[in-house]
Amino acid sequence: MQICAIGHYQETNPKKAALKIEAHFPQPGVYKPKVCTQCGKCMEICPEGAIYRRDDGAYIVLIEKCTNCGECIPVCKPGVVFQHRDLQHVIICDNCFKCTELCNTGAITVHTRLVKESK
Amino acid sequence: MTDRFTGSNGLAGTTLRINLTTGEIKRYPTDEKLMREWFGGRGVVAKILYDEVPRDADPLGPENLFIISAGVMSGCFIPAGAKIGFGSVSPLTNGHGDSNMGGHLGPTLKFAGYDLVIMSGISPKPVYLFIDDDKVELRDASQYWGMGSLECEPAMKKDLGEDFEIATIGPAGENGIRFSCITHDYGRQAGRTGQGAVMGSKKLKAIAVRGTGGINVHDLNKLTEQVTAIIKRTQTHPNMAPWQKYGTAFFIEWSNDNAVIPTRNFQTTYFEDIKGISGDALVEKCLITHKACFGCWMNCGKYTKAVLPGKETVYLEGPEYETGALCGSNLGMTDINQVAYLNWLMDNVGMDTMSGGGVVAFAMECFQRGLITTDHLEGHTLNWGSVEDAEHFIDMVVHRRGIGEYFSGGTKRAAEKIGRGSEKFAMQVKGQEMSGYDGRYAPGMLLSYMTCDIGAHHNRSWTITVDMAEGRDKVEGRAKVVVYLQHIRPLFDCWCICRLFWGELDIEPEEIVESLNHITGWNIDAAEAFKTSEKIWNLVRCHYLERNKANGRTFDYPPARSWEDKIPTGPSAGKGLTKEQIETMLDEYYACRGWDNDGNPSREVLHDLKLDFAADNIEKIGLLGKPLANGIPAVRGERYKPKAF
Amino acid sequence: MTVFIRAGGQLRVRLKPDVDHYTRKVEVDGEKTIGEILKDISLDPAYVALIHVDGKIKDLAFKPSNGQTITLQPPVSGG
Repeated sequence: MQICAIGHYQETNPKKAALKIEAHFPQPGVYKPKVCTQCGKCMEICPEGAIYRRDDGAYIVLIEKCTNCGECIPVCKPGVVFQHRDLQHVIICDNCFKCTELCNTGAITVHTRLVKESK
Repeated sequence: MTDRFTGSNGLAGTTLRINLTTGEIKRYPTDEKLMREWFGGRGVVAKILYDEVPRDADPLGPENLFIISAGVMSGCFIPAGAKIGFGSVSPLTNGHGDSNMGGHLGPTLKFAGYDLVIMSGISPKPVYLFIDDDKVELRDASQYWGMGSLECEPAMKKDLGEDFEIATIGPAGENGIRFSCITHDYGRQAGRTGQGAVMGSKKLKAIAVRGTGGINVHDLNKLTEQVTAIIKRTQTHPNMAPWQKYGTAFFIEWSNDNAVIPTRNFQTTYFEDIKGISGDALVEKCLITHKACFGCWMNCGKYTKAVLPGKETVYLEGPEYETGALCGSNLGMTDINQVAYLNWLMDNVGMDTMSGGGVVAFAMECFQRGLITTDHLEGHTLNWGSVEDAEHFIDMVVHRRGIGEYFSGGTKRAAEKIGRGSEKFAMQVKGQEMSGYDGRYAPGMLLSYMTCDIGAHHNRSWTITVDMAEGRDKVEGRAKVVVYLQHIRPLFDCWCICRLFWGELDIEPEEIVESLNHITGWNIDAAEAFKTSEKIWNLVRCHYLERNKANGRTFDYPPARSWEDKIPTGPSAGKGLTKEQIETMLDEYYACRGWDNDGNPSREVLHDLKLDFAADNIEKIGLLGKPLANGIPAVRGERYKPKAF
Repeated sequence: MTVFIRAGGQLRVRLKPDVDHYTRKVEVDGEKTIGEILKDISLDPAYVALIHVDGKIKDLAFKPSNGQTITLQPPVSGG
């Protein structure tokens, strides 16, 4: 989460990362990383058209259009659309993959898949 | 929005001073000069305690301070930048006390905006410190008072939110057991020196923090570049895989094979049933998941369960090496589930497993020798290898029932009450119990215990492989290694990063200092870092002398078992040190440090370290070291690289 | 046959790596145990806390095959 925030906001601040790690303790005692699955539901629901799908499949926030209304937050199944008090827009993963480069256990990896071009 | 001082150069920006008696909370900009000169963490704790706590203050009274320090590197993008330090005058040793803890609390405190929290007084009722970014409150903790730590944390997360980081004390801390700990993240502890007891004395049940801010560093690009390279390099380091799989438990068997594992209260150093409590046994029988601290992928934490017949399954983090040794072989436990259960029990009541293991072992030996009987133990026995006996005894101690009261102050105080020669096998120095290594055939390790500022702890200096390389029968030359280690290792406790990551993966001190400079912009070198560490060491020594009012040498001896009892069994049978050898090591140590032979710092050394004020203070009470016949020793500053490293 | 021995931390200096920062290549005459191989290269097994071969723990009596990598773990310098 640190490299995500550093890469996008030049700040050591995990609350500005586009992924999260859920800790399920004391039972069953497991961690569950939650990452963007590029399902596109955030783009579908956005009332301002502030989210678009890039050619590589990533969903990108148009910062100038986003009003930070947060409508995209509840529709995100893994729960990885974030708001932060310093920002006037939401945070959505842009598939930079820096997290996968640093993940030492293989818990977060890149899986390529065929995508249809959006018209 | 209340005042928030934005930090820079690795600092979060705000220091809190809280008077628990009145409930007053004040905010100040963090003193950057103080952080620069004392390095944060343990260093800044040492300075504040020295300056502000009266020399006759009761450690469990209102004048003692309880300090939380997140350090300059914690929370920054560096490996294992996870630690938080706690400090107060220790109720165990009656001197400077500090203890640090991994997990996530340190970084979160800084993300909330705070570097340092200094608490004084005693709250009229149980409270917890609540921090949610700018909001800082003392909240009623009466609904949590009495709860075990491992029960309290999930209860508080349920009440406040999962993204709060919580640290708690258990009933042991609430009841003033002098070796109580602070627990966080379901199994990380600040275990040593009784910090939990100080929290309890102040009626402070817990700390709950949520932070959403960032930490500004001096040069983020250079830091990111350096750290990314270190990350990639260490991912394939040979030491990484076993660490990730076993944590520190993997070398329980090594300690046994090399005859340093404490067995049945350090009566011997070899345990015949080691396989049952080894790292392998832990992974095979108990492991649920690996657990990491903030920013660390060694993930040495092992989240486990303990399953014992007739008992409910319990969940815990551990046992790591120290608990594995001190609550394992040291108590005659033969099954890893037994050790894990006792680990859980002590974590939940809020008792340091190291001192806890030492206290239970001491009591077991007293029972073995008939110094305490079933009459003292409410009809129970206290036999080696019995979880039921240990559990009942721990309950007596936590609630200070009957003879439990004697042991609530640690083995030194218990031995003073029990007498009849038991002082010989109260395995402690300065009141704090030994770590999980027997030093009788590892002289540098014994010297490390003897001269450690906070009692018999290995964190400052660990020399077993040096002892093996240089000769276990030989004591000469060991002192300078101990001094070097006592300078480099506590630096991690100042900067609040984990020594295990940086020390075990071939990262040089110069690289760590480079990271520090990228974070802080201080532009220091390794030599300055070591000298600052030496300054802190000497200040802590002076503080100890001022509080305990006798020559330092008086307090630097191990228990008599260390020279009277040769090791009876195992690979080191017949081996041991003499009193003369122990005196020789002390003489050499003081000479290396530029202290006189009474163990008191000289004015020359204190002046060189800009501690003239401390020299004046110990001079007033007749404890200033005699002038050095040959000037400041050169070896004092020597960067000693032991052959085994 | 040839085996590779990897070690870091305290053991690395004693190992005298020659392939990369952590690895030494050792030519072994015939079939030997790990203990015998370490003796041949003057590496005292007393400093070895754990031995890994292909991700599995082995002991000094294990006989490696040609081309295998033996990873040696030193004790933690204070856990």
